[in-house]
Amino acid sequence: MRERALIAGAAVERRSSGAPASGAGPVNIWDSMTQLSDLDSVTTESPAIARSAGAGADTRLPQWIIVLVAPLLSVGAITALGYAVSDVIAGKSIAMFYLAAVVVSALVGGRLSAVLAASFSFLAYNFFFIEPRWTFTVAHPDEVVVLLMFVGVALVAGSLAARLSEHAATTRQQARATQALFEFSRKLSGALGLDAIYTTISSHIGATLGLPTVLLVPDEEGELVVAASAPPGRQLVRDMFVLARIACERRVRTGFQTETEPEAAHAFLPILSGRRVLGVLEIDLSERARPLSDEQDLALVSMLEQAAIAIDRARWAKESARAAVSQESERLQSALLSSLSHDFRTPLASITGAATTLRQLGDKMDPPTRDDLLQSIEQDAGQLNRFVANLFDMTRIESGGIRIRREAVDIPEVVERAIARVRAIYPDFASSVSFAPDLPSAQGDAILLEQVMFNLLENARKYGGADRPVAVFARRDAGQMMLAVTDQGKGIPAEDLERIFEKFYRRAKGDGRAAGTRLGLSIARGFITAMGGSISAESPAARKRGTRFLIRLPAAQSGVA
Amino acid sequence: MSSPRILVVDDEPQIQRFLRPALIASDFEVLTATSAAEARRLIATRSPDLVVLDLGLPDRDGKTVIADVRAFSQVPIIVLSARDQESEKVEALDLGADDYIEKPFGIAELLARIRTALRRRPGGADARTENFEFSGIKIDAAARTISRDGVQIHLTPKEYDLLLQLVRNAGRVITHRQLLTAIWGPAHTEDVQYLRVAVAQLRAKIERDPSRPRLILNEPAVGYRFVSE
Repeated sequence: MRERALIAGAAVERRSSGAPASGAGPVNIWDSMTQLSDLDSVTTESPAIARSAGAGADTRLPQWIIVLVAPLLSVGAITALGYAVSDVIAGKSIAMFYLAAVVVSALVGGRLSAVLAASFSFLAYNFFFIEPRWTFTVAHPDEVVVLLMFVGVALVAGSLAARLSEHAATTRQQARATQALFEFSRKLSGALGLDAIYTTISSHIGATLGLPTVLLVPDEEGELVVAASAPPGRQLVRDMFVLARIACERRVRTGFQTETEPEAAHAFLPILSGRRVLGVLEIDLSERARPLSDEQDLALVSMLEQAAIAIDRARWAKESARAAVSQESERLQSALLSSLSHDFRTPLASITGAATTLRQLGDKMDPPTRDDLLQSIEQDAGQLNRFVANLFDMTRIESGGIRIRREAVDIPEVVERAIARVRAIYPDFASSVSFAPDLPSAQGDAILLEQVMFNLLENARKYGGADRPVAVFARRDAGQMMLAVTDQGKGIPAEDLERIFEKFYRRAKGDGRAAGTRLGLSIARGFITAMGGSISAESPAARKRGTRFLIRLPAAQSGVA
Repeated sequence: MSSPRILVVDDEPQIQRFLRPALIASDFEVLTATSAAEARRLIATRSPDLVVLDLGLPDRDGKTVIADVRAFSQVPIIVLSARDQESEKVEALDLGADDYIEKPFGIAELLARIRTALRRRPGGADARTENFEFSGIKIDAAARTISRDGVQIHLTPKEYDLLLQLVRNAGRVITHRQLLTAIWGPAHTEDVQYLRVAVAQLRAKIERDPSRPRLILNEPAVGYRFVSE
């Protein structure tokens, strides 16, 4: 079917290019093709452009009527006027009046109008005012000279006036085209993101030409897909994609009156940036059947260039945003790895060092030193174990594989158990605990809350100093259970209060000092959030020192409590 | 002679906890520091015979300690690091550290490194007149000749220089950059390929089994270490 169309198209091309009457070169609408004669080039503004270009343009009369009517009316009016004053003014002077009619016609209707007006004037002047009147004959030879002079002057004056008028029209048109392009470019730069740009391209070009459009862009595999259309929701039939693909591959226009399937009612224009095809714009000319005018085509070319720039820019922006995201995630990844490697290696280094020391130098040491080394091995093994447990918890939170019970939790009991666990590791752990008399039970999971408390207490000991007691306090607060853990350390700068809950975040630099898993707080937040509560940090807690962690959990129903 | 004094710079209490008794049991006098500032002060005031330095310190990067100390002291420095990035080690060595050891490590290995570093303390004999002997190989530094079991081995001047550099620093790692600068000059510090070729040729001439080198050992991505025993 397509081949038939192509053959038919070739025939059409031959026929039309062979027709001298069209006065145009090879048929390619997109090349500068002048359909209208030079004389009425003023009128080349098409109805479509006129519709979108200016106010009141819709009510304009067809150009040929103006060309005809302007000389008729002006010559008629001058004749009537001349007849009225012919008793007072000499017949020869009336010729001057007709010059005015020619000039007016030239300004209104262009060159053709001027020629018509000159001809009508010649006839009317001859008929009405030259002796013998009421005939087209001329009695005196000098009258013939006057008439010829008149026609000559009328043609020159008319031509000059018409040129002036054309020039003004061209200027107006250029201004309009520039304005339209500026408008397009403004819309494009206002469009956020590629999709908005695609929509703008399709709808603006569609509105400017007054024709339906579809914008196709290559997807990741290079297949053309519909990105936007005007009116929205337009789709292309399968056959059309073939033409679009050819436009894309060969980087040329295809379809309507081009070398590739000229009979098609749709035109396909590649949007190019250098050698790359950014997209293909389809224009549906089936309801128009006329090619686009020079001006429209020029405007189209400019708009496609603007479109290419806008698409390019948006793609770069998208690319660089994507690059930034992947850089950030790479940075996190490497921070995580180096942190993991450090947190595993430090206790391992200590265990290896202590064990090899004991084996090789143990007999040179006194019993308390040997005992201390053995104890350090035990403690570091414990630390490794907690670290692995924390990693496991973190994985469970992230994978959503955590089962949360929602039951009434007795807060003093949970706090007591957590403190006991911390004491098992740090026998010198000091704490002061107080609970409000009306403390409600919290609704949540006792095991998870105990882990959270353990993490907070261990953290408080680490950063608050081993010798300063950690304060734990709980009360009812606006229908919720509020639990606070306060240390007496240096505190945390305001800008870090949220970040400490991030995975692997730790403020202290260097390896040691506060060796820890750095997962404790993010696990605490994960658990508390999963229980439907919230956890936050405040610093300074009191007297410009210390950090307070606040846990809020829903209070258990009083019936249950 | 009094026992050598060793400064251990590490902010991790667990590391100090075993290093201190281990070094004392090995007849060293032990000083400890937990920050870069403290380390600098102790090196300047107590003049230790050797420094064991962790690169991750709370106040400053351990590498800056090396640079600072090298401005006024040639005390041997052994870098201790949990970091596994090769560039860290190379940087530390290029800044003037004498050796490095990776965590986790056995105490025997650290003690061996410490003894090697202490042997090469500054003020040793003039290197040019030194003679070396190992694994049946004799180097006569004055005559610039080398022989195995009495048989002369022919080395090119570059191979000879390379061998001498390695042997003089026996037991200690030397970075690619240090070897390239010493033998090919500062313009060739990045031409590791030169070094690889020279090392391969040298191994072919002096190693009993060049495919399994026993004398010139690779320290991947860092440099080479000559082992004489």
